[in-house]
Amino acid sequence: MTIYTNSISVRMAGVTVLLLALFVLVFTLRTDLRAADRATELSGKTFRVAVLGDFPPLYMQDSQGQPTGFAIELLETLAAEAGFSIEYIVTENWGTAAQLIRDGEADFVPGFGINDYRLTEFDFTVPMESIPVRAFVKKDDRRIGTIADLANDRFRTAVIDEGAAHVELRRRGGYKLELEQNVDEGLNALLAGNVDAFIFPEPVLLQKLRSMGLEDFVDVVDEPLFVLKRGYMFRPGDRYLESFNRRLEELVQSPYYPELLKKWYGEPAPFWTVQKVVVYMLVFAAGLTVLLVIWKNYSVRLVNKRLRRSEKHLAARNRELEQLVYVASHDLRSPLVNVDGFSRELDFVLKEIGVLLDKDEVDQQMLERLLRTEFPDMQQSLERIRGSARQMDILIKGLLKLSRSVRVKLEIQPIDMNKLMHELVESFAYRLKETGMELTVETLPPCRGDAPQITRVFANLVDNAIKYRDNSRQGKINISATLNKEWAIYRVADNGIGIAENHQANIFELFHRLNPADGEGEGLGLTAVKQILGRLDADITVESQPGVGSVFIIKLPAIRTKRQRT
Amino acid sequence: MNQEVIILIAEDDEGHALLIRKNLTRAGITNRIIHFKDGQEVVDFLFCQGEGPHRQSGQAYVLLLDIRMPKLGGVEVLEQLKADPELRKIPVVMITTTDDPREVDRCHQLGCSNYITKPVEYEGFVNAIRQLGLFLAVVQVPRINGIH
Repeated sequence: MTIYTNSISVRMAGVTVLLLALFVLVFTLRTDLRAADRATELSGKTFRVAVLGDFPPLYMQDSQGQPTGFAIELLETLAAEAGFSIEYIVTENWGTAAQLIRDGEADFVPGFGINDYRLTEFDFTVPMESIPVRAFVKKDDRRIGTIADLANDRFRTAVIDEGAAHVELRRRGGYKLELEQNVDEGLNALLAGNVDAFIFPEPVLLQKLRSMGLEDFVDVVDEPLFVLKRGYMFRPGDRYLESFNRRLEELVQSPYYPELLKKWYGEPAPFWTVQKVVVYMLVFAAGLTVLLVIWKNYSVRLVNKRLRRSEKHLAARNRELEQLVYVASHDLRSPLVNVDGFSRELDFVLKEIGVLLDKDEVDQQMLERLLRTEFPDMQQSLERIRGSARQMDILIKGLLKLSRSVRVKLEIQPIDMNKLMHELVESFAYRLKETGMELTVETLPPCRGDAPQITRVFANLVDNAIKYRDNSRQGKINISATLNKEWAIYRVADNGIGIAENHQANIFELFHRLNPADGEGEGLGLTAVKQILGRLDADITVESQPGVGSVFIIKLPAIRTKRQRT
Repeated sequence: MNQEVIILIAEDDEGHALLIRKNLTRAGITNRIIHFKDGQEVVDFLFCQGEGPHRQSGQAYVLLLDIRMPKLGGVEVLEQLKADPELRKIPVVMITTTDDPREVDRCHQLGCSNYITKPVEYEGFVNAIRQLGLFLAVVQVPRINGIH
């Protein structure tokens, strides 16, 4: 047991020594490392940094002439974190910048293209940016799908003179190259169709396109020609290189880096920015307002027009009705005056007879004389009373007829006037033959209306033409028509007795008869005609010359062949 | 009334014309009466046109004019008379069945001398004619000269 114990303690002691040795080793190593660290410590140092004056977005100058840009901001972030300060040496181009490094006038360039050639002369940190260089073609140019499609001199390819793409493609050979001086020239050549493709660092060109609002005119070819990498360029063997490498690596992987990239290279601006939404809404609202105002004015005008029309219509109907009531009351009172008047006359005679009969001794002679003298008058009075009753009956019947015709429901539809007139002529055939009159109907255009009512109108007019014929000559009636945009205008012309000009206004009046002694007619015909046409939105006028004849002109709504405004 | 004055009655209703005559006679007016059946006839007579009888120059006339008549209404006749420098002197009495105030106004504006409505009620009618008789008795009836 003891032996065992001893052996264990011996082992334990050995392990302890080993551990101690290891500790010492590690400690020494760490001190070594710290010493090395201190030697390459960035903190507190000042670096002379060569930057380009104008190579956006990498190197630019702000309004005060201070360097700014993606590389500058990255560097300054780095400087703030690591605690070093910067002294800028602004130079013109890559060549002079490289020369400053060579000559030892600057310590490094914070962003310089890494390639095999430069690697032989300089040392580079890890890349601080990687930029795909791609081919750009015009929108929907399906001929070019890959960079390889450009080979074999098939397409004209624009590159920047002595740029990375130029160098690369020249090395590869077989490309028809157009050399441009700057990005604007290259883009112009592409958009103008002078070249088929333009090869350029993608984010820079995209930003350019976006700033010009041309992103929709250009497509990017999928696979990049190469990826352009930029790192910090030092003289070979620079002792701070590793420190920068570590710092850069950390920074490039931090979330800050993409933010910075986005800031300088930009990203597709969202289409619906707040400003745009507001502007579009304002434009839309303004447009809508204008439209509404126009629409309102238009509809108000339209409604007003319709109102005015129906108002006019109503006023016309009202006047007609007033006229009707006036005429009716006047014409109905006329026979009443007679009824009352002549019954009073009878009353006078009867009173006289009564006086004679009331006497105690009736004077037969006087009575007989009175009766004989008054008898014809009495007969006449009675006759007048009965005549007045008949007259009233006719008037009332006429009024009823007229009011019935107003109540008839109209069925407005297109009417074949040739057919309608043919039937009408048939129905007048007997009377025409009887009176020896001649009725000719020309080809008539159709119209819109109610067929039975329009038949009534023309029947009335033909009837009048027959009734008021001039017996001294061969009676003729001619029905013709013309058509204008809105109206079918029919003319019923006769060679009858005609109507004197100062009587023409009265002929459509209710119960108005030019020659009551003629016996025929109740003075309703033309009133009814006018009333029917009024209901059909139509109109009638007359042209006449006594002894020559009359023309009745009827305007009916034409059938609209095309859409027309009302 | 001066017996030389001739009474012209323009009245399409013969019954009315007869009643007017009878009542004028009853009111003691016995002047000569000429009856016309419509406005056109009386205009033709006064303006000496057409085929019917014509007026005589130097004669005095009074016109009883119905308003609602065939061919030419009473208002139109009145208008024509009042537009004539000579015929406008003729006293015109409108006789009508309505007493529409607008119509009365219009006739007065045109210069009618009197306006009588024919009442259905007979006493009124007789009264109206009697008034007409009185009117005719007092009115100065000028002679109408010139021949158209």
